[in-house]
Amino acid sequence: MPRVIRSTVIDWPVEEVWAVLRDFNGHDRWHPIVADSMIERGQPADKVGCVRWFHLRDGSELRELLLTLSDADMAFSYCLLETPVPLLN
Amino acid sequence: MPRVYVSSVIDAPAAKVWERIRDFNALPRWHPRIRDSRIENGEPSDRVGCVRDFHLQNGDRIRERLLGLSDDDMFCTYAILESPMPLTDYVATIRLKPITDGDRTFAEWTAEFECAPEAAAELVAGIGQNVFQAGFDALKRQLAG
Repeated sequence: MPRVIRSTVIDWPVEEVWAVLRDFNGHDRWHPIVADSMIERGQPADKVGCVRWFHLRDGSELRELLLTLSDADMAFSYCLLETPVPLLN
Repeated sequence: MPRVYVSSVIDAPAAKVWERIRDFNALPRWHPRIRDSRIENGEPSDRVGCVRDFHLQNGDRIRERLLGLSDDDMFCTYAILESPMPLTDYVATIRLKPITDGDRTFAEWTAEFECAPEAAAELVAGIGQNVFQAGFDALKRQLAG
């Protein structure tokens, strides 16, 4: 099973970085390849189980499900539901 | 329960830092506050459950048991069995994580223990600065570049 991991140091207080990252629907505001995003069925972006539906700058359409969100650990995990690139899980 | 948390960035690959600190009996080689150390009963220093018996530069004696060690996740967890500090149930973990951006290391050292409430602040500050941060500063001097 292929695995991708990247880590870095961001010169900013961690609580402020988390405040930006924790918004599952906010990636179009900070990630350069995301053009737009919305949470399906009007659910809150921090409801575990919600789905974000978004487009990349090249027009690709993706849907991702929020699996885990933890303010205590400052971490979240998600899975791809539909993607133009063939991936499983 | 008082908790100590100190983290740092060391400008060296994680595998290289881990190699330096993984030996439970090697504190005198890298930590400036520790004078000497031995493993009791002649056991290997990576045998989980072994006990290190060591002295600080000021002569204080401490004994600690190795509770967990992982070369995969790069962490070492240990408990204090005897020390001159006014605390009990002290368990600590030193853990490294690779920073792929620049091939550096994120190092964390945490501890939890019990003590009288009035002793907590001083113990947290003392352990945090004199044991944990001092250890990371030493590793940075020894490995950076």
